[in-house]
Amino acid sequence: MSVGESLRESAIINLTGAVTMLVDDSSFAADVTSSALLGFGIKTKYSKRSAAEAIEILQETEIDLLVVDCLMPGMDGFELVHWLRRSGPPNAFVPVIMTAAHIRRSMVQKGRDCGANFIVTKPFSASVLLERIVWVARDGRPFLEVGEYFGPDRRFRDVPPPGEERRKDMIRRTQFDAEKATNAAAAAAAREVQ
Amino acid sequence: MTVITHARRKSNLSRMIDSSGGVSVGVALTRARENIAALRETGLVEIRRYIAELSALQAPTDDDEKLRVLHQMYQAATGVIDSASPFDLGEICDVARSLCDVIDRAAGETVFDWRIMAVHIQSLQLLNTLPAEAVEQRQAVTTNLADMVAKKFRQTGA
Repeated sequence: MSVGESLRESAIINLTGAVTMLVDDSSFAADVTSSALLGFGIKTKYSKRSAAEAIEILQETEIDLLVVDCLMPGMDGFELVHWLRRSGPPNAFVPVIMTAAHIRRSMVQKGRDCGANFIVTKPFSASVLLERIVWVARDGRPFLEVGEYFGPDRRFRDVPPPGEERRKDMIRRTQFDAEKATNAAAAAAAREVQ
Repeated sequence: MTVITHARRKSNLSRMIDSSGGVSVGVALTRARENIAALRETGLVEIRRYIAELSALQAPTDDDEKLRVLHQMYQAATGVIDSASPFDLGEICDVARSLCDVIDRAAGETVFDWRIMAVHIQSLQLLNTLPAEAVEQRQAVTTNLADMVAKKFRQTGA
């Protein structure tokens, strides 16, 4: 399968030490997600069935990644993330990926405003989940507090930094694009010669 | 409105992802897919359970019951998506997602048409019994359902 540069098959990622919490009221959906995470080298440390159970841990213990289902009875995933962003240390800035089987129209605003880094809608796919984990790991957006909102800056900018590019991922991407272009040109030239 | 900007601090995840060790993306994805594939049988059982839950629901007779039934139906339909989507059961997911959309719209409607829900549930039952090789029949189920939903919402202007 061909994947984007961020998920180039030969790229090496190390997520083994990531202290991860998974919150999903469906034990089967939680099993699917934790199985995928295990494949990526991430052993889910906390798997919780409700927001209340998650909060007990999140108040005390620092985690590295939170994967949370949007739709849960009682306090839903959006409310949990909204609480988390206002919870102060140790986890207010933790990367959050939300998963959703379906998002009601009335929930779109809630999803936008809760402060998650990303919402992944199903169908579930291992490559999409990994891509998003890599993406949130490299998410360099500042956090903003604006009225009720507290979370990553929602304005995506694609402006190059001033001066020479020093971001490792951008240098890698540029090299990869250049390499791909060179290979394509070489292959085209070879075809012409034949 | 006041905007407070917190400069992005590097997360632990960000520090560890490029640290030494780890696995290639290709290996990680292969392992993940193998792990998920091992859950397929459980997933199929879950799908059957949720479809049975949907089939057991009766048309509501008053507004309070309507809310309760729609809530149960929505929970079961999202359960179908949760259980089917990891295993490339796209048609079942599409019908369950369509059912979620219809429920979402129905919640705000004063006139409630149970028949459209019933057709979705029957479609799920049918798709779950048709073999994977019955491509044309499976496609016919989803196409007819999509046509019916489009027609219904054109009529109501929703």
